[in-house]
Amino acid sequence: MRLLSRQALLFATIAAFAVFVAIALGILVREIRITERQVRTGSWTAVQIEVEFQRFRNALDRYGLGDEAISHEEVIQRLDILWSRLELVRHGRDGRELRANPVFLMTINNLLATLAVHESVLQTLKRNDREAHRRLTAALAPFETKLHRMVQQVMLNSETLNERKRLQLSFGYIIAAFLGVMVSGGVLVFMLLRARRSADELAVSEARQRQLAEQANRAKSAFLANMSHELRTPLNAIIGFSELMRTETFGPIGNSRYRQYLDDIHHSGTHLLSVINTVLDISKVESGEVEIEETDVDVVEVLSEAVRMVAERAEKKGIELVTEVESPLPNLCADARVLRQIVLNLLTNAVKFTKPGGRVTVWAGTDQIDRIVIEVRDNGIGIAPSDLIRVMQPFVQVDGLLDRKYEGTGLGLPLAKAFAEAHGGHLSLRSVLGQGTVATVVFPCGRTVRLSADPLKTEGQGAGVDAKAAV
Amino acid sequence: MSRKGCGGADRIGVTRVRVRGAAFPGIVKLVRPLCIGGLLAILAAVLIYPGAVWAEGLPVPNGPVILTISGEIAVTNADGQAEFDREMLEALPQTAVRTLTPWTDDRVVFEGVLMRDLLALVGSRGETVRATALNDYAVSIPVSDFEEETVILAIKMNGKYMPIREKGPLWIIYPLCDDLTDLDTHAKMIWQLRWIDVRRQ
Repeated sequence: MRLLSRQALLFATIAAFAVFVAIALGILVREIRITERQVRTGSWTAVQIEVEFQRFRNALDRYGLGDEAISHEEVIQRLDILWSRLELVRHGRDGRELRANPVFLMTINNLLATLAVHESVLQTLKRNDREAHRRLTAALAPFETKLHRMVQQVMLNSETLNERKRLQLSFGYIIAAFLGVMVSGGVLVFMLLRARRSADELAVSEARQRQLAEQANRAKSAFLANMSHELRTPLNAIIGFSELMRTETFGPIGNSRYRQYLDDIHHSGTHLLSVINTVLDISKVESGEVEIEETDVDVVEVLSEAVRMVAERAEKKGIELVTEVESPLPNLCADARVLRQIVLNLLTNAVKFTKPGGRVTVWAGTDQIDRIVIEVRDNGIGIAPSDLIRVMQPFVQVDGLLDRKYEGTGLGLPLAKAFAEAHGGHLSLRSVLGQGTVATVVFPCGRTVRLSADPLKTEGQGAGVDAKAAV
Repeated sequence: MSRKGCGGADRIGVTRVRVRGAAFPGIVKLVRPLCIGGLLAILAAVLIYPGAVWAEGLPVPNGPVILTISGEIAVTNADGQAEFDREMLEALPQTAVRTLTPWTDDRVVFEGVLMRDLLALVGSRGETVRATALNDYAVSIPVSDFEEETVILAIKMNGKYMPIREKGPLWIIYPLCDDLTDLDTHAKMIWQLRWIDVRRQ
């Protein structure tokens, strides 16, 4: 909502900016065009009137004083031309300026009236009629000064005055528009700067939040690790003492039903311990506290241990458990406990998701570039391609149905993956839904330890598990 | 200054209507809006008298001469020049132009002879005419103006002859844009015209 209004404000400012620029430009362009088009005809009209007035008077003088070279028609023509000039003031645009001035208009109207009054005398004027000429001259004489003054005033004042007023107004508008341009431009710049700054702040706060989240996650993992430790201690007592009682170390158990309960207690305790161990491990992985104690590990031995640990479960379900090992297999520079955990998790999963009568194979060997590879294959229910990545995430089983059908924390695969990565290796899954799954762990070649210099030892370690060992 | 931007007066031109054997010599007017924006309208009207084109050259004027054409012309009726009285000019096809001018109130209808017709009649070979008025005002006009635009030598204004006092008897009229800013054209609209000298350049 706030973002929307900010955007609206931004657009409004841009619009205002554009409008002000347009107004300023519009006024300027108009001003230029007005200047181009300025039709200054007032002074021209006035000058023409004065000139024609003088020419008419000259003609009249010559005729009235007896000049033979000038005809009566010429005098009348001069009169008519003067008349037409005077009419220009009364009609049309070019006369507007003079017309607007009451003094000028009165002068023109008076002159026209005077001419009209003397029209009949003029039309019948005889050459060298001194008396008539004197009267006419007397009537016209005052206009000479008036017309001349009109010309001077028009040229000096009115137009420039009007022009100045208009220009002042225009400049006022232009200045206002430019102020508008500057203000809206300033606001625009301010808004853009602020938008950029807030984006920066957002990035910073995001980073801070991410940091906080990571811190919280680490704290959670540390807490879990501690809690798991606190839980394990009493569990050890439960498991240990139930073990002692099962073996009847300090005397027989009277009722066989108690023996049954003891088995349940022991079994539940063991299971709880393994869950807690897993949670503890994943917490350690998440809090980045996995410590690897590297030794030269006999992979075959580790595989055997892991196989032994799931053998009972496999047997119960009627699943064939097969170990295949390349021989001779080099040692692996790794943490034995962690490695066993990896294999155990993969095997547990394989057994869990394989139907009775199925088969689980664990295979160990080296690839072309001498990396040690451990593979656990099953012909169980498989995983859909879209779920392959998801099952690598902590606390995920493929779907809700699986939760019901298959018990477990969903931490086995993620943990195996994290452990493999802690060794610089990686875990990958290939699966066909309904046909089975292959989990492959590959360790970097730097962890492959060949002890060819000591064939005896190699032989000794490789002995026992030669090719296949069915359980 | 080009006047092409004036609402397309040149483009549309004038519709001339010839009425042969009309019962009375009235003016057939055909009003046609020439400017889409209503800037300008030209009223075209043509009067055709039987025998308007003089078969045996230019006659000698009977009335007072109001126009003299001299210079590069082929057809004359006086000493190397063509003289006209009002009757002769009225015998030629008439065209009407309705326009604003800076010197009149509102729109005015002028009627008269198309300048290109007049120059064709006297066999003009010039590129320019020098037009001089009774008041000694003079202006040079390129002949191309008359080809491109509806320029008339007006005899009547609003249906009446124009006395000298009303800028008559002859007035060269261009159809003008309503803004009346084309001062170059205004300068060529010479009134109280008396004399046209046709020149090569």
